[in-house]
Amino acid sequence: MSKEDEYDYLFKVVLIGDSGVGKSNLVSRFTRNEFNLESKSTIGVEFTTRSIQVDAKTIKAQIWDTAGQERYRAITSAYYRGAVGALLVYDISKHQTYENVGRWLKELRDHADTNIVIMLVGNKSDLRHLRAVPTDEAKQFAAENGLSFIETSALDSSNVELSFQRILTEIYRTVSNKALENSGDGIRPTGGETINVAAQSADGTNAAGKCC
Amino acid sequence: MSPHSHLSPLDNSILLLDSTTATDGAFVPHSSDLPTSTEPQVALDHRRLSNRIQKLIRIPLSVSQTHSRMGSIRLGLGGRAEKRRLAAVTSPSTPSLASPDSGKVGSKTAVAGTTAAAEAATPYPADNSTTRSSAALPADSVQQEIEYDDDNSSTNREGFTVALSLFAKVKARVLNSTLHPVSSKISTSSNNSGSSSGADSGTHEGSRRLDRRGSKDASRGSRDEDSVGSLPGIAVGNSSDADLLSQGVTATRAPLSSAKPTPPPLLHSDSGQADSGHIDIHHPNDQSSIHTDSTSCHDPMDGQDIANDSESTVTDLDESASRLRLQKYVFEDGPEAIAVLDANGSMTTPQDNSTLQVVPTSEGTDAATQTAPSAAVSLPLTVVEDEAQDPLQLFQEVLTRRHQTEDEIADSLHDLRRLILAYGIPTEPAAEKTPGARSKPSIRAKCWKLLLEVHHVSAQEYVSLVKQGKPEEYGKIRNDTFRTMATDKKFLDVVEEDSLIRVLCAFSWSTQATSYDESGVSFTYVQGMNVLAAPFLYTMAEMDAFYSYSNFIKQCCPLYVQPTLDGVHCGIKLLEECLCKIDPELYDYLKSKRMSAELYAFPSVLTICACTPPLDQVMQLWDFLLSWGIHLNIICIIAQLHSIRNELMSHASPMRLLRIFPDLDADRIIGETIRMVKLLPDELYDLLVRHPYDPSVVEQISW
Repeated sequence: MSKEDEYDYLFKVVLIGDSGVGKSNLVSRFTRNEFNLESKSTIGVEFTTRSIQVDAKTIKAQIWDTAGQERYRAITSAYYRGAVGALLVYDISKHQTYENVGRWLKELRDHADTNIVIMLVGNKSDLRHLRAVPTDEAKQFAAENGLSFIETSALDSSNVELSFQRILTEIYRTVSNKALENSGDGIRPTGGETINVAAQSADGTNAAGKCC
Repeated sequence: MSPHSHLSPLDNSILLLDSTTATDGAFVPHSSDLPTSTEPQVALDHRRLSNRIQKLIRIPLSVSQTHSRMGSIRLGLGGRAEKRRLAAVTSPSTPSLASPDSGKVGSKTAVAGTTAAAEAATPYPADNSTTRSSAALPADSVQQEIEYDDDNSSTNREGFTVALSLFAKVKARVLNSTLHPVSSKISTSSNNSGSSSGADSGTHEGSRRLDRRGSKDASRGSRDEDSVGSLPGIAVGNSSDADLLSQGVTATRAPLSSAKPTPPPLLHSDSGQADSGHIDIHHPNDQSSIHTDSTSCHDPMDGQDIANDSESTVTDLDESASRLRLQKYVFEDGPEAIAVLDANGSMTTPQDNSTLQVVPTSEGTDAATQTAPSAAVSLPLTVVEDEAQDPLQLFQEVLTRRHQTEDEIADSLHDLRRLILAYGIPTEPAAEKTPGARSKPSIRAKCWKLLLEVHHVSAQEYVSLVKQGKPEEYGKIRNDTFRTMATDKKFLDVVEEDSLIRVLCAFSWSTQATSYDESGVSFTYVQGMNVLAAPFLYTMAEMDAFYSYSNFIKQCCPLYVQPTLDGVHCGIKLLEECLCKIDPELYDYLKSKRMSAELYAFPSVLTICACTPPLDQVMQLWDFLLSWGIHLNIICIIAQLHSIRNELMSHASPMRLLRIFPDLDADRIIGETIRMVKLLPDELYDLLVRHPYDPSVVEQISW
């Protein structure tokens, strides 16, 4: 059993957003520190994992990357099932992708767990000269909708690590708080199944040996 | 999933034929019909088997010709689909056609009758010349042909199973590189199918399934053609088969032909320019406008000039057109054709050693109406016994055949399928590159067009589609095109992004312009279609690629590109079902790891494996899938899982392995696929066959 397979928490995080905003490159930058200008478009769903440390706990992020085109939303119920976090990505140089954020939010509200932690991510911040979405505007939108917000560039890797760190930490806080609450009244409905796994494994014996 | 699949009457008939052919005693020929085979059951080594296969493939078309005439007698009625269906149903009861006591006199009668019937069944007076020309054959040749028929027709069908099993076996051998002597029964006519034993029948089962798809193709083909007929995009109008036959690549060749229709060409006119008889009757004005100059024909989207491209394409097509002429049209593959082909058991009769006389057809007949003699008559019956033949030659032979009847075409198409299965499409010697000129269409390009029933390639139509500019989905298309096969350098070298954009846009326009399907199937751009278009552009010139791609999407996998991706989901479900039957252990294991096929197989299902490198292996796999049905892609994916089975089973997190599939090895995958197919229960296989195009399967499989 490799060290990689040991973890305290397993969180499923999905990436959503219009096609071509750079979801796949965000993931590859985060998990493999790679960026490919000529990456293939994602077909269906791809997922990958990476573990990080938060509060001396190993948190394994299972990151689901999906094709952005709305045609694929038919597969979303499986896609969102068990997700505890979502990165909603748009392209700061393409206003249309920002306009569609609202639709993606609705999608999340419809299909995902209500407690899902959502982060709005303005990607391609390296394209300053082409900026079409002002940072402040997006920030305000995020605040109004209860989302956290960050701008990233998968190309120059700025803020990529930070964005995943933040959302995973936030999820961790939420989950551990919830675990506490659960131990209090005990009858609250559980969230997605990943939360359950993680919560159960939080009692010290880790979940090593389970599948990724 | 419902355990009972719904079978349409058509499907039933095919099944019926299959099973009857395989087992029904009605096919045991009357003993007096049997050719006196001098060849006992022999053990053949690998090479000899290969020769066998070559024989199988080089079936003289005279058999099929006669056979098809008989078909006309039997049926002698209108609609092709109906005819097919009836043929499938009635053929088991027709062995008596070659009545045991029918001597030459009987044969002559049959000829007269069949010719008449063929004429009667020919729905278009214009093409009577074709039929007449056969009637006008010198008596000797007719006689000989009929003798041949007499001796063998009744054995045609029971050779069927034997040939199939033999064929699959050889293929398996090729794949496994097993060079051990094979102690297989090479059944001649004295073996009826029932004698195929144990292992044989297994393999046979496999290939029968393959064939079943072929048959379904046929029935679908005819239906599709009807619907295509109503398309402005694919304008065959209400033309009958004859029109199709006589049209050729019409519009495409128009620029090189004179505007005035001239009589059909003489035989073997391989020089394309001579064939000026094929003017597109639906677009009589095309010729003037097709000749594009750089100003009138440019890509409105990129401002890029495609004139050169299309012009050279025209030339390509024109060159190949004459060669491909008669093969292009009604490539239906019917049960009859299968049965006929397998008559090769008869190839082992002494008679085979004589060469059937080449008929000096055209002499003394009206040159203007004389059509080419069928390859059937002009092909020597003998097959070189011991000289291993170059697959390239075999392909060339099939590709240069000429045909007079649908059945001949079906036969040739079937031959082509078999060749592809047995040898794969050979790599051609690299043509020397002359700057400015495009290379001739490859064998693969020709084969794909034939397999996809691309009858109609019109530069004018394509250009006008492209000229319409940006379709609604243009943004989405652009978003994907530059990322298509972006990691494959070879692809990027061969295919320009612009041509991909044009093909996808033109397809978008062509499907918008028509209310295509009564079943409510409509098309819009879906991510992944770019990947599906890529192999076509990699293989052939842009216009060919467009028409091939269109047919591929519309006929092979319309449900895969629906907005809801119904077909893909269905395919994924079926993949799991099939995996459960084929390898329950692996299925359980993956399930225990919560690895649903939706996660690991989605890209491979949607793109028909085109997303897995290397591209040249994708091509070979597609050769196989386009020949025998893209539903087999599902099994091919299972075969890929199987190839890393041990690693999967021992790996702690198999998803990591499956995130990226191992590089394709087409030969191995095809071999495994053939092996696996026979493990599937019939009703499951039936669903599998239909899932890419039949909405009822989607409804049937609930999730």
